[in-house]
Amino acid sequence: MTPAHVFEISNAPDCSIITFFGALDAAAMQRIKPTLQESLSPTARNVIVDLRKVNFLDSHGIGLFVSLVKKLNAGKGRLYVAGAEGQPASVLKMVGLDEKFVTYCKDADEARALVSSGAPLAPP
Amino acid sequence: MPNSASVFLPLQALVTAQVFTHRIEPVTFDHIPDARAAFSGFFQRAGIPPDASDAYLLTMSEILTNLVKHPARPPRFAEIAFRADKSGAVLDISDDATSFADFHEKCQAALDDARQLLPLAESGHGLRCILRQHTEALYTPAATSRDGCNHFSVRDFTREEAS
Repeated sequence: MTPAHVFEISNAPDCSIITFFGALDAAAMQRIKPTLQESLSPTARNVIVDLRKVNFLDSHGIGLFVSLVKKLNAGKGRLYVAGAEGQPASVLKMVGLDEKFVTYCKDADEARALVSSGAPLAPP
Repeated sequence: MPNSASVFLPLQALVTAQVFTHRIEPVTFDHIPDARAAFSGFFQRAGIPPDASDAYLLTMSEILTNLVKHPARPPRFAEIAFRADKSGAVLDISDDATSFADFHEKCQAALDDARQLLPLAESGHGLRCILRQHTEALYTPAATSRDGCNHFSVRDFTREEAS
C-alpha cells in the first residue's frame, strides 16, 4: 500500500462503502477530496464509511463527514460510520457528531445489514 | 484562555521530565504526518499513555494545519516543544508567519459554537477541538513574544496538581 492509498470505494445500488486507511488529516483530504466526490455513486442514498483501518482523524476528516451528512440528509439518506475505535472514535464524540446525525456500527457488515433491512434512518 | 472544563492528565507515573522538540522546515501539509510520527514515537518511548498523547497529537496537527492554511505570510519553519512531568504537560508551537489576529475572539466564538453543539458546521472544528482538549490555551503574537516568534501553547495538569 502506498502513502497515497487513502481510500477504496465499493458502490452498490443502495449504498456506497468507503474504506479509509491511515490518517484522515489535511494532507490526505487535500489529495483525495476531488477523487472521492467523483467516485461516489450519484444514486446511492446511503454511505458507509469504514474506519477500522484509520489510526488518526482530525478536523479535516470531520469536515468530510459533515459534508457527506449534509448531502445524504438532503436526499433522505444517511451516513453510517463503521469500526471507529480509539482516537477517531474520541474525536467523533468530541465534535458532537452523534447518533442524531450518523449511525455508528461495529463494522461494515453490520452497517450493510442495516441499510439492506431498511432500518429506520433516524434514531428513535 | 482558560477552558471551561479542566482536562486532567494521567501522568503521575512519570519519574523524570520528558521533553520533545522537533523543527519543521518548510511547513507544508505533507510535512505534518512526519512530525506526528516523530511525536507519536516520543510518546511511546516516554511511556505517556494514549489518553494523554492522542490529545497532543491532534492539537499539534491542528495548529500546524492552521499555519499552512491561514497566515498571509506563511511560516518558513515551525518549532514544536513539549514537556511533561508528573505535575502536567505543556505543548508550545512557535513560528515566524504573520501573526493571527483576534485570537481570543476566535476562541470565544469556537467555544460558543461548542456550547451550542454545532457539529454540522463544516469549519472551525480544529480550534474547537484544541480548546475542548486542554485546560489552558494561549497565543502570543510575535510582536509581544521574547524571541520574535508567534507562540501557540496549551497546558494541562494532573489531577493532584490541579486540585
